[in-house]
Amino acid sequence: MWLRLFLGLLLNLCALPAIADAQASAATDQVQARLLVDHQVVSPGQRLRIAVQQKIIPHWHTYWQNPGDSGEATQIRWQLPSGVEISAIEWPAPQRFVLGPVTNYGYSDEVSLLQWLSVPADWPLGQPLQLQATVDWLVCEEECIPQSVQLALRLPVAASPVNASAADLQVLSTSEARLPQPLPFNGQLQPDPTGGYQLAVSGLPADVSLTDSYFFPSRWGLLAQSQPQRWQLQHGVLSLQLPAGETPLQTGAVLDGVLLLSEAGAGPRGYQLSVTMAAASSGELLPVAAPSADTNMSTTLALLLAFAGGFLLNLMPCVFPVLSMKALALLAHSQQPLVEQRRHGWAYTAGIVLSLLGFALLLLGFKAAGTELGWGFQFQSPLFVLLMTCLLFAVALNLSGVYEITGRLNGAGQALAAQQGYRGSFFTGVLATVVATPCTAPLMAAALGFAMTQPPLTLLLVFVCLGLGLASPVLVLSYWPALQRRLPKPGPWMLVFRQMLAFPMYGAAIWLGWVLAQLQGADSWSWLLMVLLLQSFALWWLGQSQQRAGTFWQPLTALVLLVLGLIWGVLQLKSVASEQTTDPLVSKKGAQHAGPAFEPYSDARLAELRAAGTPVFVNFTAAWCLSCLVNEKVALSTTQVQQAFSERGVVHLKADWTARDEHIRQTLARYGRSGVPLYLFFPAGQRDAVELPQILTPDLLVRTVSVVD
Amino acid sequence: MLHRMWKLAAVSLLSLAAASAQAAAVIGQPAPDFSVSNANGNPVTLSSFKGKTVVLEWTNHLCPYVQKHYDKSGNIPALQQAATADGVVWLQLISSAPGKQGHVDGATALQLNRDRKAVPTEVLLDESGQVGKLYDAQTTPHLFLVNADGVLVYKGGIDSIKSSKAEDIAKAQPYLKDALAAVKAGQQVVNAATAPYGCSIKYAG
Repeated sequence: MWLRLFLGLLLNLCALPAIADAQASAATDQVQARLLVDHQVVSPGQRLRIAVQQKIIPHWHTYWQNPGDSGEATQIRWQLPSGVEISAIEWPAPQRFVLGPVTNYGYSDEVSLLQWLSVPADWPLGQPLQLQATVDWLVCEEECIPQSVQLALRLPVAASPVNASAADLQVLSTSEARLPQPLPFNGQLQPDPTGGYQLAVSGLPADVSLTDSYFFPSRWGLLAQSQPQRWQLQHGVLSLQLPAGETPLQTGAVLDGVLLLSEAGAGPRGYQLSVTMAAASSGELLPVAAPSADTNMSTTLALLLAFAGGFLLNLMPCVFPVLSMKALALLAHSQQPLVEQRRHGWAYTAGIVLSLLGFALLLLGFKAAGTELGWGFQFQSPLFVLLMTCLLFAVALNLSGVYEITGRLNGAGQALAAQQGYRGSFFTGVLATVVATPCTAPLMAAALGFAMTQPPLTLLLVFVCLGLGLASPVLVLSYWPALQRRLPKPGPWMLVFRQMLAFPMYGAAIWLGWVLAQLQGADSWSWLLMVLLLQSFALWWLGQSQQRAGTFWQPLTALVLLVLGLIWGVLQLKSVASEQTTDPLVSKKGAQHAGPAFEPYSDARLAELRAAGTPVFVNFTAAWCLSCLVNEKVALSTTQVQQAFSERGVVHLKADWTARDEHIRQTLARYGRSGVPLYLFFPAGQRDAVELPQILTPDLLVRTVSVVD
Repeated sequence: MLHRMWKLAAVSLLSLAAASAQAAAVIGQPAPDFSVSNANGNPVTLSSFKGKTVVLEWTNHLCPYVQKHYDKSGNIPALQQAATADGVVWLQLISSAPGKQGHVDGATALQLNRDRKAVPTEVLLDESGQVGKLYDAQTTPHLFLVNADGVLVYKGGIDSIKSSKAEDIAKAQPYLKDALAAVKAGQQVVNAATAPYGCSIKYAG
């Protein structure tokens, strides 16, 4: 108590000197405002940099000159001695705030509104300059509060000026740096067939890689502010599709505002842009990203699609055996009380949802740490692929009956029905999730692409829905015994069926081994097979022990062997990986698997081909993407399609995302995707790309390339 | 099964497309029709007022910009008085979601109007935000004017000065008042689309 009083007194004493330059600062509950000048002693005829600084508490914002759909720009009204002149406010580049259907332009955290103040040349020396300003602003979180403060400053006038404190100069120079710069590139504006405008900015460095681009109109009515602006960067030309506002621009009218460009690895930079609207040209139009509905998909639809996608995953070759195992287990449980069956269903669901949430949190963690990943990122890690290969192989061996999964190491072999406790159900769920990831079902790509651009909560929700979709068949089965009765009666056939299911699992393991070879080079096959051999021996040894109850050392040695084998495999991985860093060609060579003739993708190559009027087919793919491979096999590499491509002179560009590649990730992001596959067809001489469905058929491809002529 | 899932997805996509293709509030086009409960719990349908001029006013009694035109100046109540005396139907809409600023029950809404001497024809409770989003209403206040043929003839701000200060009302160009006068005189509204200003509407979600 006394301490607090004493501290309070001390604080008051410290505050005393501040009262001398009374009201240079003022504070409300949300905003601290302060008047700053670049000199503490000024001289006649001098031009001074002056700023009103606002420090805003977290989550609140004040507004830019054009506040957007609601809100109000900050106003500064000066009361100045006669002869003193002040320039218009120079506004730092704003940020966007989106609240449902309302988009606002303004500032959070901190902003300084800059002006120039001229001291008259005949100002008498020794007579202080008294500056006073009324500053009005609106500060909003979701609710808004209009606020007004008075700020005043008395500046001594002398023959030789004195600079302001280093701290103040720092604030001023930081604010200057945030002012939009004159645009060093050429801008062109013309009407767009969709009723909006197309802004083309050319002359950007060819190697620039943008993560975002947005045009802030200087006043209301020019653009529909809450509609998305689509953009595309190609060959140093940035094209933006701007939706027209309530008072559309006529030919000859001027669109002005700030173009904000965010470069990878650097903060956003604002450019002053002022372009005159040209008449609609029938000639060469610049390419603009194919409109992708994904980016403005509603959350509800994304959740629905995630659920449907999760459901479809059940039919994928790597998940189906796991699902069947679960269904079999349920059948075996069918004699048990319904409550227990339902608990099994929920344990399975929990396993799926929790492991998907784990993935989502991992994604968010990477995102927070500044590393953007796409869906399927797990398969870009050789370690993950190796562990997955071993896991699938182990599951396959289990299905073959080599060994049983029991709670205890030395447990005797038990009946299929009994071995699955709730823990078993839970881990079946985890397993189903882990093996499902490479088979990103067609519908899921859109929902996940959407999720990646959303706030964390939405992203997590999308993943939860995905999990529920994946779990739904088993959950439904566990709730409606009537459905179970439709399935064949449990019996010896189940054992045969289970052993049959091992084979798709072996197949999946082989496929993953092949993915590993793509990542690590073809010689990884040899040691991988050794690891698997060791694993199969260890598990067979375990199985032997399970048939003779009692011994303890046998399962233990099996386990030790298993772990040693894995460690050896991981060590192999490291050595190959380090070789790879010295010779990057190793992975490149490995990644070129057999298939149709293609060229590797690059933005520059695409732009070059398009400029030459060549039709281009772009194939975003990865070795670990099963549907990509299926499409390549059954559609892309058929002679029918190859013939159609060569007849029409279509160039096939392939963007291989097997290993991590920031450039391809960004390109995918531009089309609202976070993963592969993505198929685009750029018809000769046309502006927009045609986006093809994620399941290709030869007919569809032939039709696509032919129709557009 | 797979086939059926695709069908389901296609249907949901189609219905979404249909919803977004639904008529928006465009000047010179028929104003989108709606039906929503009034403060007494009775449904009110826009199209039932055909033959009369209708004002749609989005409001939120706690928004400083609404207070500027109600409590601090009586500007909107005066406009309501004059307009309804001319036979205009004035619909006051509250689209604040439950738990958000400005959300009130019917009785409170009516009491607020008595306190503020406001005389709208109806107070409509749009807590789901459906009507607000149908009109793309963004701010409180945000005003729309529908003529006797049911055509939207004005949308935007109540006047031209974006501020929360009552003393600015006299200096501002009274867009809504001008639009009402033009409609009454059978003339074209000069500034048919202006910038709405105020607080953002506190929609659900």
